[in-house]
Amino acid sequence: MEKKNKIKLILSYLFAGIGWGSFMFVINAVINAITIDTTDLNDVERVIGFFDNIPTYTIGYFAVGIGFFGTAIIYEIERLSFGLKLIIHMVIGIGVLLIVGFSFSWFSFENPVNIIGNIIFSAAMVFIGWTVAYIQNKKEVERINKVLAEKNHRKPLDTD
Amino acid sequence: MRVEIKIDPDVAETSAVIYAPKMTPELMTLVEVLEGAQGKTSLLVAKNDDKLFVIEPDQVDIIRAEGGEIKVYNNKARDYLITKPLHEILESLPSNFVRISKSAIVNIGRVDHLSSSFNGTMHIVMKNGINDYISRKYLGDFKKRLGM
Repeated sequence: MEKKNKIKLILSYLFAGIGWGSFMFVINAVINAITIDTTDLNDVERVIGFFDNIPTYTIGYFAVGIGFFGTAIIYEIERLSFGLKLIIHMVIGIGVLLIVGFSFSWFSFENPVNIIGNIIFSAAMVFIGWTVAYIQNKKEVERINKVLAEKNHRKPLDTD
Repeated sequence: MRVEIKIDPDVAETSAVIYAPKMTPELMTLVEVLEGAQGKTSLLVAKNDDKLFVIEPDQVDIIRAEGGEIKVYNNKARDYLITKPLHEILESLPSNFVRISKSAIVNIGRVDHLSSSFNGTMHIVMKNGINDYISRKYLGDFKKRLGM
């Protein structure tokens, strides 16, 4: 691949990761604002802590976004098997999530449920991303098969 | 179609430029006719069981690299060995042949259908039953040759 195209590809994944991180940051902020229990001092402190540390949280979410969605660029490397790509992707993604989570005190060892919940949620987001990509790929294949069928003067196949 | 020919004694080599809004099968046929008129060599010489065979391109479904060798598969899925590199082979073939990955060239007229998989790859199934995959890098060119 040309160097220019490689750089464009890397940047597109990087910005996709930052974009996803930004989106999750906004969702988290909205959830915090909506679910705050003003009668519970701990909850109020928790939410205040979130909004008081917006720059830190922003960097953290960007890093996790790049860790999970930016590293999806691994799937562009065709010589690697799908299994290996998946392992590398998830190891890096979860690794970044844990490093950021513990560094910014989002997680603590006293609350393993929070850690596991975040890992499962992030993996679920990646799965949703895959599913969307698969659906788009399938639609593309259907369009191409329609053209092939017209070329071969037959009805399009019902593939997949 | 409007046809315009300009005779210029100063021109060293006859060439043709076709202006069209998009690639169509008819255009591909026209390119093949023009390339044929220029004497573009497109016959393939390949080996099978120590015998040499001359293969017409329209009998070829797919040419691909396998285990360090270049194999030509005809419309009956019989394979032949060829010693040229893929890019050289592609240069000598008509325009209905298109590269689909680093290691494969297909005859667009012999593509049966494509199928998708969850890992994001697109599999191509030839009319002789052989399948391979289309690399994302070459997908755009493949679609262009189909007129998409």
